[in-house]
Formats: sequence, structure tokens, C-alpha cells
Amino acid sequence: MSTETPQSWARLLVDKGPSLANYFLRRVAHRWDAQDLVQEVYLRLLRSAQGDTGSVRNPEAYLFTVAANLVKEHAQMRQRAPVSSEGLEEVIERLATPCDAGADIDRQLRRQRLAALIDRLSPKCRAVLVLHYRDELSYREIAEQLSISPNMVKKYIVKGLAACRQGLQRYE
Amino acid sequence: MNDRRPAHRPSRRITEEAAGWYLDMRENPGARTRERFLAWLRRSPQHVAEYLAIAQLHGDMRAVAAMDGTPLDELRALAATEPNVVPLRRDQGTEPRDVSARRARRHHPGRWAAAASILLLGAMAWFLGRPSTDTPGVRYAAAPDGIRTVTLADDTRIQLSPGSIVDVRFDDRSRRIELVSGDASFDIGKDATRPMQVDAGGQRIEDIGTVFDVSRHSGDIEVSVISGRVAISNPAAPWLDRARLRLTGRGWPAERIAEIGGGETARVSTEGRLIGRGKADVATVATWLPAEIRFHDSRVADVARRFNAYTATPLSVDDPVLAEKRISGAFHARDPEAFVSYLGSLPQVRVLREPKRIRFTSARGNRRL
Repeated sequence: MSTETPQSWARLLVDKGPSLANYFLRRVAHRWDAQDLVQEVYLRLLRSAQGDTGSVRNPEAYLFTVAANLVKEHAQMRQRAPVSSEGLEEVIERLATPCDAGADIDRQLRRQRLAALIDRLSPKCRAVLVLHYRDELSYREIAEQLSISPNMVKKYIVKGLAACRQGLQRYE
Repeated sequence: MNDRRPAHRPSRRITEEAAGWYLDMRENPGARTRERFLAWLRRSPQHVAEYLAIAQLHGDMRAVAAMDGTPLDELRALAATEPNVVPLRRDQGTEPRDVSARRARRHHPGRWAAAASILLLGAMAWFLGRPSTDTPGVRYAAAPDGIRTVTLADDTRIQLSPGSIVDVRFDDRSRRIELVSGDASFDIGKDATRPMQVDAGGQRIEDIGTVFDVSRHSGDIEVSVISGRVAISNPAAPWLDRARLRLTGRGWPAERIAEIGGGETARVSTEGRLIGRGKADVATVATWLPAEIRFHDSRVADVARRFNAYTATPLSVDDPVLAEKRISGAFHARDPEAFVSYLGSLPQVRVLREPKRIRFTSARGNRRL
């Protein structure tokens, strides 16, 4: 695999990052499988840049490429039938439209829990998250609405995401 | 590789770092930031796993937040109830933590921040330790060119005419709102344990669960009740009232001026004298209120409530399924009947007209679909 990601792919991958991550962590297989995959992504990440750190220009896109490639290989391995050679775009396209009923229920449940977790955050933290994700306000706009600094807005988002992530983990 | 700790217990630190990096990557980072991010990712499979998990969460957040119907004003009001505290820990997300040379350099600002936070916490503890009856209120003001709607934590809805100001002071024993100037329409949220008092120009209006308008422009005030019933009184000097409230939990008994119900209006002078009392024509009361009620993807219960600022027979949505239903549209605000017949036209909705209100219940009990 090349460590250079073409520009358009990079954008596509970053756009699809959340759904790819979702697929990667959930739909590929059971938890232990996901762990193996994470392990493998990590190894490839290490191998990629041995000696030459400058070669990965966009680490996030690169991370998602590695993950998408693994998903593809994994699918091939499982089905013993080659996935069509169109490549990553197809895999990623499919990720964007999950149709598996199990995954849907899974996601619904996760979102219900997430909604409950957001409700339990401190009022400021919750306000920041809702304004950021629902109203798509910039840090600066949120800062003005809540009379705090843009820097604090970012801190609240980080805290909120981390709290939700850790809260969701308790269910797993 | 050799380090295969179970992935289900990541440290909070790695999670926060992952979230920080995820946000950084959304801001068009420079080459150096990306390099540091890559170095961070390479630190362990846990780092990779947490980053992927945050990416996944980011996708869910958008979907979940989109369903949160809390209006902006309410989010702001709630957020304002939380004091600003500088977190003791500095942001963990934006920079790698383990470069020891950096850490040595960053030691001092970190310490200062911690010291400042401790001072701030100390100041807050002192402040909170004081008697709480003087809690500073939250002030809401409408812009000179617009009506402002505020929904408070107890579900009280206040509409302010352009340029009007209210101060809101809630604690665990009482709810107080002061109309500082202008006109306001109140739709009081129910809370049997904390009576609601609205103060305007030295007079006090008390009620539970009603809709009324108050105007304060000069010294006199004018109160018009749309639905429900309120008592207007002239309370004792604020310091007396507060002192008694602090000691006994109840304010000084106030001198009752008038009690008016739906469709009535009263005018009271600064000295607490009843100047006039009469019928309130709902159609001409609070003419500053918007002539139209527009809503987009709003809960039926919320929309129904908005009409209640205009009608002597309030709408009450009793069916929980209907209450949660989301609708979009626009109605003449002073013609709630159009909205009533709209709701009545929905399948499985029954309209019950009672003398004091119009109720919407479910017809599901009889017919099964």
C-alpha cells in the first residue's frame, strides 16, 4: 500500500471517517475481531513510516485508508470470494449506507444511551455540544452565546466527547 | 504488538487526547501538527482504537444532538446557571504529553493555572457560603428590534417585547422574576414546591400555572390575565422580606391589592393603589406579541403552548404521543381555532372542549389500527 493518499481519496476518507470507524469497530465482526483489526492497523501504521516520518502527509486520511484496506481484506478472507476490484471507494460507499438490521438496532441503542449521557453532562458542556453538533455553530459563535472564550468551547467539546465515550464504554 | 492490553479500558487521558486530536484535524492542521498527531497515533494500539472510537462517536453526536429540541435560549439559560471554573487540568488534547523537554518548559504556566483555579475555587466557596437569598439573578433583555422568548428551567415561558428586561432569580425555595422594564407575557411552569412571584414596579403578582401579561412603562403597572388567576399585592420593603425569608423560608406577608382571573385586567400605581380594573380583550392585549406563530419541526405540545399567550381557553395536549409529534407550519396567532381544527384533523386525536380549556386526547382507546 502506498503511504501517499491521493488528494480526492483523502477528502473522501476523512468525510467518511465516522462511518468507517463505526463499521470498523462494530460491523466487521465481534469485539475481539475489532481488537485484532486495531492491532493490525497499528502495526501497519508503525511499518509505514519506519525511517521516513515525512512520508505520511495526512495521517488521519492515512489511518482511515489503512482501516478501509483492512476491512476489504477481512471481507475477502471471510467470504473467500474476492470483493470487486473497484477498490476503496466502493467499500467506503457501502459504509455510508449501512443496511444490516443488527447494526441498525445496535446504532439506535447506542444513540439512545448517548442522548442520556449528554443529558447528564454539566449544563455548559451540554450546551456547547448541542450548539456545536446540532446548530453547527463555530467555536467563536458558541463562545459569544455562552460568554466564554473560544478556547474554553473547545475544551468543553473535548471533555464532553471523552465523557460520552467513556460512558458508552460502560455498556460494552 | 507485544503490548496487547484489553482495549476496553482506555485511560481517560488517552480518550481526551484522542478527542483533542480529532478536533484539531478538523481545523486544517499544518504539517507539524500532523506529524505530532502521527507520533501520537503510533504510541500504542490503544491510541489508534480511541481515535477510531472518537471518530465513530463524532458521527453519532451529530445525529443525537439533532434530536435535542432544547431551544437555544434555554441552553443558554441553563449554561448560565453553571459558574465559570477554570479546569484544574490543562487541555490534554492538543499536544503530545510525554515529551519530557516540553513538559519541563510547560511546567510554569500549568502551575499558575492551577494556582489561579484554587484561588477561584476559594472565592467561589466563600461566595456560595453566603446566605443564598441574594443570589444574583440572570438578566434577560430583548433586542430593541425584536421579541425575545425565554424558556426557563421550570418550563416557564417568557416573551419580552422589544427592549424589555427581566431578572430571573430561582433557588430551591422560590422562583422570582422581576420585570425591570417594558412588557412581558408569562406562561408559568408548574412547580408546586416553589411558588412563582413576578415583581414589577414594587408590586407583586403571584400565581400557579397561568398565562398573563405585565406592562411596566412608567410607575404604574398593568396586569392582564389570559387564563388562570393571579393575585397582585404590594410587598413589604425588600430587606424585611428577605430577612424573614432567610429566617423562616417565607417572605413577609404582602398587602393584597386585587385578585383577577382570565379575561381581566388591572392597573396598579407605584404606591400600590388599584387605579382601574376591567375586562381584558384578549384580542387587544399585548399587541406587541407576534401576529403569527411559525414553527419548524417543533413538538405539538410546544406549539400548543405558544397559542396560550393569546387565548382565554388554553390548549392542553394530554396525549403523550401527540405531544411529542413534530410538526412544521404557520398559523395566525390570534386564531387558535385554526390550529385546534388542524390538530383535530389528525388521525386518532380527539378534541374535548371544556369551559376553561381545550384538551386533546387520544382516540386510540376505542379504535385500533
